[in-house]
Amino acid sequence: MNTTLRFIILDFLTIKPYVTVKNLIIFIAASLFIYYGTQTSYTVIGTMMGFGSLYVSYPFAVGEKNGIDALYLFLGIRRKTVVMGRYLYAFIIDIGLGLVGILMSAGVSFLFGKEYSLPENLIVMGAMLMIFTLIQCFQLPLYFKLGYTKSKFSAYLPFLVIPALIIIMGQFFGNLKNQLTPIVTWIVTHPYIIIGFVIIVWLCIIMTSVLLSVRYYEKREF
Amino acid sequence: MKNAIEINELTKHYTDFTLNSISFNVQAGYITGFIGPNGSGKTTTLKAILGMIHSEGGSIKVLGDDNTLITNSEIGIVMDSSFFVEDWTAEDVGKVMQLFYLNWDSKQFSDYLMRFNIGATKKIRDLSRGMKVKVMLATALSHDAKLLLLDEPTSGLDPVAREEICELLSEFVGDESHSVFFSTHITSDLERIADYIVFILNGRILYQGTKDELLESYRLVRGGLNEIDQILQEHAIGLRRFPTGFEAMIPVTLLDSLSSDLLIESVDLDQIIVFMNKEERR
Repeated sequence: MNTTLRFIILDFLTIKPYVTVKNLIIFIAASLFIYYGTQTSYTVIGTMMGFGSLYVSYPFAVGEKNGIDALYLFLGIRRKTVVMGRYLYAFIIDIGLGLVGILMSAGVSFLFGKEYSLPENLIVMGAMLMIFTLIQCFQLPLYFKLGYTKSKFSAYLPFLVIPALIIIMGQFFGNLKNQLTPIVTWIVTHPYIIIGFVIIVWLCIIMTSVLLSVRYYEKREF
Repeated sequence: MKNAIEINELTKHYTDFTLNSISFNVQAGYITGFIGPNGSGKTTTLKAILGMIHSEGGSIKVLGDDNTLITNSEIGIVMDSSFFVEDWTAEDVGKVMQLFYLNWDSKQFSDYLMRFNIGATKKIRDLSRGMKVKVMLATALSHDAKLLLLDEPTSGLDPVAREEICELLSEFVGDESHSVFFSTHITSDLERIADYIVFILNGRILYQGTKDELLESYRLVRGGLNEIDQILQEHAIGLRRFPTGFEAMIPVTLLDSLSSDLLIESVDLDQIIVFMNKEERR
């Protein structure tokens, strides 16, 4: 088996003691609560993926507490493999909890007699996946550079900054509604160009983040 | 292979400490003790060997290879604190090791756990320090390692646990292809089992060679204050004066030139460290 895959399994074994029924109940209860507040089943997907983000930081937190970086070296895992494996682990968590979110979204829609559209749910999950991976692209280099404890405050800043930016941009673009209409029309008529562009930008950000993390982690001393 | 480890002019600077271009070899097939007081550079050297810190100069060869990682499966490691996730059980540790060590022997690991009386389902956090060291040792001995690197494995352990660990290490080097590099400040353990000694003080290697040669190189001298002559003034190592007399360590080559009234005794490794350290501070 490839070392990166083995490393991902190691990450899951690292967080295994913290994947508990209690946490699952908390996640489900919180998702239902948010759904009750918004009456939108899509929010369940976002909530579950938000919880996923917590699990993305767990290997850093648990690892730092237990000095696990040394273990990686003793096991002969190259630093580059640690970084690649951690990004893939994060991606698997995002996709996994996104899919759980879709299932829960179907469940609550069924329970409360709301309409359910799988394609729409998948689009929401895709958008959420982009947002959460972008947040993680900001967080992971910080964790690799400074460790979890030193960077946790800055690493969680995007959760405050992004919603604030959305509100500010919403108001800003709301005021420019008339001037922006031709651009919006162009976007609506050329969805594939926009999707392609967004995906390219997304991939570039991921690559930059991975390269930064490799650079930072190569320099770390334990 | 003659040397299990070859360190050549290894250098590392910190704000308050420098590993000063140290060079030494660890002979294959033997137990080599790495001694020195706390803060002398033992752990820094071991970390550099293991790639945990980046050296600023010099070279490190482990089992003939420049890259420690390539030979990782041939190195067993025991550090002074556990590097396993505290919420793992000993069983989980086995699962993780199996993922990465091609030569992992699950049965041997279970046998060691039984020998050490460690329950496979017991969490690492619930184990005593001695037990944690034993789990690390069981791990190090269950993947056909050729070299064991141990950083202060016996510190804080009771005499029974220390004896057990020393016995295991002696068993391990029974096979001539196996080597042990053992850092400690509890030198009584080394006096029993070590063949070679590397002595580090303030980031410099003061001695490397056989343990017996080191012990035979110095003597402890005691006498009255009026017996401190010119030779002692100049050559005594770590001279200590008390109201009732003095004590010092001297090179054995100077014995003949000392007064026959002085009390001469053999030294142990602890005393060598203490006197050398005192001399260094003068």
